[in-house]
Order: sequence, then C-alpha cells, then structure tokens
Amino acid sequence: MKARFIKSFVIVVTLAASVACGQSISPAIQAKIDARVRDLAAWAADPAVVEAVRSHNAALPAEHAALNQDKWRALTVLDPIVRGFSKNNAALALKAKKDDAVAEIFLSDAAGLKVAFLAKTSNWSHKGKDKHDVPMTGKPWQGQVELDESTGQQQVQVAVPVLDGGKPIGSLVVGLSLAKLGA
Amino acid sequence: MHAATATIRVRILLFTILSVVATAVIAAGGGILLRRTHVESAALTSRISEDFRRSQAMFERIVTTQSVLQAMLRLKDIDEIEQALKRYESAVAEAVRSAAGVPGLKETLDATAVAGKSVLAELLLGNNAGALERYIAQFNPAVDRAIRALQTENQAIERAAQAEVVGREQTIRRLLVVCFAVVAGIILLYIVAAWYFQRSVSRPLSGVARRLSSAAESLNGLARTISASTSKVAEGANNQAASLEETGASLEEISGMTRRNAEGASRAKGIASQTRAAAESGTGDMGRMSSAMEAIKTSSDNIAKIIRTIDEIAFQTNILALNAAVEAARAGEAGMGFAVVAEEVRSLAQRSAQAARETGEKIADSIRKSDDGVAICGKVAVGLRDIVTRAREVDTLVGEIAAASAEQNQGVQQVVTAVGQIDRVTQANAASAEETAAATTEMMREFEVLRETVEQLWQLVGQGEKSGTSSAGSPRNELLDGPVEAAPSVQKPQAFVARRQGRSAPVAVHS
Repeated sequence: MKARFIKSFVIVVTLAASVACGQSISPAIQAKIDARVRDLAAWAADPAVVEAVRSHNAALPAEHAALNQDKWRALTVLDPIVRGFSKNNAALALKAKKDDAVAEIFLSDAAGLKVAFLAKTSNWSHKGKDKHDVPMTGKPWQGQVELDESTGQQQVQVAVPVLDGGKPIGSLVVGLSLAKLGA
Repeated sequence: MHAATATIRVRILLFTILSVVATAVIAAGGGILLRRTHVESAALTSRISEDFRRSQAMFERIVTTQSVLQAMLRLKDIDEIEQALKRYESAVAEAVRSAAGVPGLKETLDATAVAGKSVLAELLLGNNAGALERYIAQFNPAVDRAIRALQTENQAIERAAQAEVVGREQTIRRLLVVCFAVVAGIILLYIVAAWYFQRSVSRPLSGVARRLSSAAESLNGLARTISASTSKVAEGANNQAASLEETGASLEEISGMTRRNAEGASRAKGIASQTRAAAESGTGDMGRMSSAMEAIKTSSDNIAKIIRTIDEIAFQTNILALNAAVEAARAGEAGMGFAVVAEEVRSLAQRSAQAARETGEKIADSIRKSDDGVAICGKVAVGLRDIVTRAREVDTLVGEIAAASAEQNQGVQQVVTAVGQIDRVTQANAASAEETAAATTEMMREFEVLRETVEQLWQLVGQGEKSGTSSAGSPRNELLDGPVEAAPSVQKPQAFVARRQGRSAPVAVHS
C-alpha cells in the first residue's frame, strides 16, 4: 500500500517535471550550454576519443558484438564488460575533462553502440535517437530539459559529433545539470 | 612537675592522635563512601553511557547505511558507485556486527540488509529509478523498524538505568544515614575526649599555676630579703668606706707619729748614746775627781800635819816668847825691848797659833768636806755608773724603740697596704652590691614576668576570676598584685664613688 503510494508520488513528480521541462531555457543558461557545446567539440576531438571510436567502428569487439538491449540491461555496473567501458582510454580522457555540471557522458560509435561512458546507459544502442542521429549528420544536438528520477535534478543532454577527417564517426552525448550549470 | 608536663604532653599527644584518627576515620569513611559512590556512579554512568554510545553508534551506523545507500541512488559514475558500494557494505557489516548483542535489533538489521541488497540490485543494473523505488518501499521501512528496535533497546537501557539509579540512591541514602550516625558518634566521642582532655590538662595546670604562684611569692620574699640584705651590704660598705677613710686618716696620723717617733727614737738613741758616753766620761772624771779628792785629802792631811807643826811651832814660839818675856822681864830694862819683841813674837806666835788653828780647822773642815766630797764622789761615781748602766739600758731601749718604730712604720705601711686591699675589697663589695641590686631589680622584673605568666596560665586553665579574686593564701596576693618595687638604690661607698669620679680615694695608700 505504501509502496504503491510512493510509486504514484514518483509518477506525479515526474509528470510535474515534464511540465516544467516544457518551459524554455533562459538565454543565460542557453549561452552556457552553447559554450559547453563548443567545449564538447574539443572533447570529441580528443585523440583518445577519436581513436576509440575509429577502432570501435573498424572492429567491434566480440564481447560487444554479442550484446543486445536485453543482455545490456542484465549487466550490472560492476560487470567487467561494463567496467571496461568506463576504464578505457576514451573514458579516462573524458573523465579527466568532466566537471560538476556534467551529469553523464557516453560515447557511441557510428552504429550508436557504446564505446565509452562514465555511467552505464539505459540503452546499449542509441541508433535511431536524435541524440545520436543528429550528430552523425555533423551537427550538434540539444535535447529538452528532463528530470533525472534518481537525482531529482533537471538536466539537458547535448551531443556533438566525433569527427575523423571532418567526417562524423560517432557521437559524444553529455548530460548537463542545469542547477550546476547556472551556479 | 616534669612528670606532670610529660603527662600533659602525652595527653596532648594522645588527644591529637585521637583527633587525627577521628578526623582520618571521618575523612577516610567519607572518602571511601564518596569514592565508592563515585566509582559506582561512574561505573553506572559509564555503563549507561556505553549503552547509549553503543545505541548511538548503532543508530549512526544505521543512518550511515541509509545515507550511503541514499547517496548511491544519485550516483551514475561507476567508479563512484563502486566506492560507495564498499562504504555501504562496510557500514552494513559494522551495523550487523554491533547489533549482535542486542536482541531484536539484529533481525531488523538483517532485514534492512536484505532490503538494501534489493535496492543495490536495481542500482547496479543502472536502474536508479527502480532502486529509488525499492529504497523507498523496502529499505526505508526496514530502517524504520531497525530504528524502532533501537529505540526499544534505548528505552530498556533507560529503564534499567533508572532502576539502577533508584537503587543507587537508596543505597547512598542508607550509607549517608550510616555515615551520619558514625560521624555523630565520632563527634560525640570527640566532645567527650575534649572535655576529658581539658579537664585532665587544666587540673594539673591549675596545680602548676598554684605552685608557681607560691614559688613566685617565695621568690618575691626572697627578692625583698635580698634587696634588704643588699641595702645592708651597701650601707655596710658605705660605713666601711667611711671607717676606712677615718682609719686612713688615723693611719696617716699614726704614720706621722710613728715616723716622728722613729725620728725621735733615732735622735733619742743618739742622745742616749751621747748621754751614755757623757756618763761614762763623767764616771771617768768622777774617778779622777775622787783621786783628786783623795790627793786633796792627802794634801789636807799633810797641811794639817804642817798646821799642827806650825801650831806646835807657834806653841813653842809662844812658849819661847813667854820664856823670852820672862827672861826679858828678868832682864828688866835691858830686856824691855826684848820683852816687847818677845811679846810681839808671842803675839805672832799666838796669832800663828790662832791662824794655825783656824787653818787647821779650815783644813779639818776641808778634809771633812773632802771626805764628804770623796764620799759624795763615790756616791756620784756610783750614781754615774748607775747612770751609765741606765744610759746603756736607755740606749738599748731607745734602739729597741727605734727598731720597734721602724717595724711599727713598716707595720703601718703593711696596714696601709691592707687598708688599700680592704678598700679594693670594699669597692668590689660595692660593685657586687650594685650587681646584686641590679640582679635584684632584674629578679623583680622576672618576677613580674613570672606573675604575668602565672596570670596567663590561670587564664589558660580558665580560672582567671579565681586568680583575680584571690586573697591571702591564694596565688594572687598582694605580692603579686602590688607594684613591683624597684631594687633599693645602693649608696655607693665614697672610695668607689671617688674612684669612679677620677679622684684619689681618701684612704689612698701611702708610699
């Protein structure tokens, strides 16, 4: 009974957040987001990031090739495969650039499969989603303001393409905390 | 007196020891009671505090477990999740281990750990929302149950502590009653001992004070006697000095007389010697005068004889003249002239006879007188010899007198020396008398101190009124109460005074 009440409370809060997300971002925050996007372009140009995406595109590791969405969801964050994504060179390079405003980072190859991340993503592949497809067109992408259910904070995801010789070979998605970004 | 003092000392010592022991017993009893109470209270407090600390620690661990898990729900970084997971597992293990001795709590913590694992299962799958849902639905209630179990445990601890505090208060109350009774008993014993002590000390002290008063009285009498004796000694010394002065003057006169006597004796001796020599010379002259008188007598005898011869001649002449006258008468005229001559011759003869008779008478008288003179000379010689003898005796006596005068002069010198010694002795006696007077004065002061000390002693023994109201036979009599007279001033002898004033004494030693 109590669990049901709590679940209903979470849903109500989520809906309220969704309503809130519909609100426009203030120009000041947007300016900061734009600046972050420019920074992310530099992050995406990091050699370790480019090399990781290029290698992943060239030859998908067998353990990665065996994964699908269900298997991906069944893996815990402590699973060696998952830990491999957060401990490779690209992940380490991105973690070194990360600050408090960055809530999440994940790097995808051309097929939308994960190459590196700091936190386990919900989906194994983001192919077909704007946060991957738009950058793969060579353009940055900015999503709507969302409420992170676990943290209860508003965040906005932005994505930039990973370019190799001027051609998009992957995407770099970063979740920015509006609260930390506006501080 | 020493035994009484020793007894008092022993009593004071015993009373002090008793006081110290009583105080020590009270202090030790109080200290032991306080210590015991403190130790038990500290143990109780420590136990209660320990229980509450353990409860608080368990509460903190539960809250830590909850907060760590709640914080993990916000984490997405796998590295951070991994680190937080370690903290969570450590906190859970610590909470479960610390709850091992608390009945009811361990089960709730085990249930909390199971709920936490359920939350972690979702969280590790990356389903933070699901983990939050389980956290709210399962973990928080489990934590609530654990906290309630902990509260129950705290209430049990509090009740046990209250019960123990009540028990301790009752025990302390009983101990305080016993302690008060013991302290009251000790104080009562202390009062009795103090009363006995003051009684046992004041009585001997009263006796001592009484004896001291008597001794002080005697001492005062002795001091007065000594003072009177000192006065007499001083007066005697003064009189002695005066007598010495008179004696000195007399000795001076005697010395002059002796000296004059010695000189007179010496002159008398010379005169006696001259007298003896003159007497001896007179005796010689008398002998020679006796011889001369004898010669005169002899001459007178011879003259008498001659006178008688002359008388006889004159007689014969007269006869012859008569015969011639007769013859001239016969011769008539012729014989007339002759008769005249014969007459004349006969007148001459008669006159010669008359002169011879008168001369004879004179010579006889002279002889008689010479005899008388001889006799007188003899007597004078005898007298002179007697005078010589006497003169010799006088000479001897005068010599003896001179020697005696010299010895007397020497004796007078010795007497003067002795008088000088007597003078020094007198001075020494005067000084001694002065010192004795000073000592007497000091004794009077000491007596005053002794009197004040006795008074203090009376006050100490708490019988000041008794000492103040005492009369005859009591420690405070007129001798003690009266002002202490100063020692009579000693009249210093003149010799001593004169010597102190730098002039010679009247009985200066003759040199």
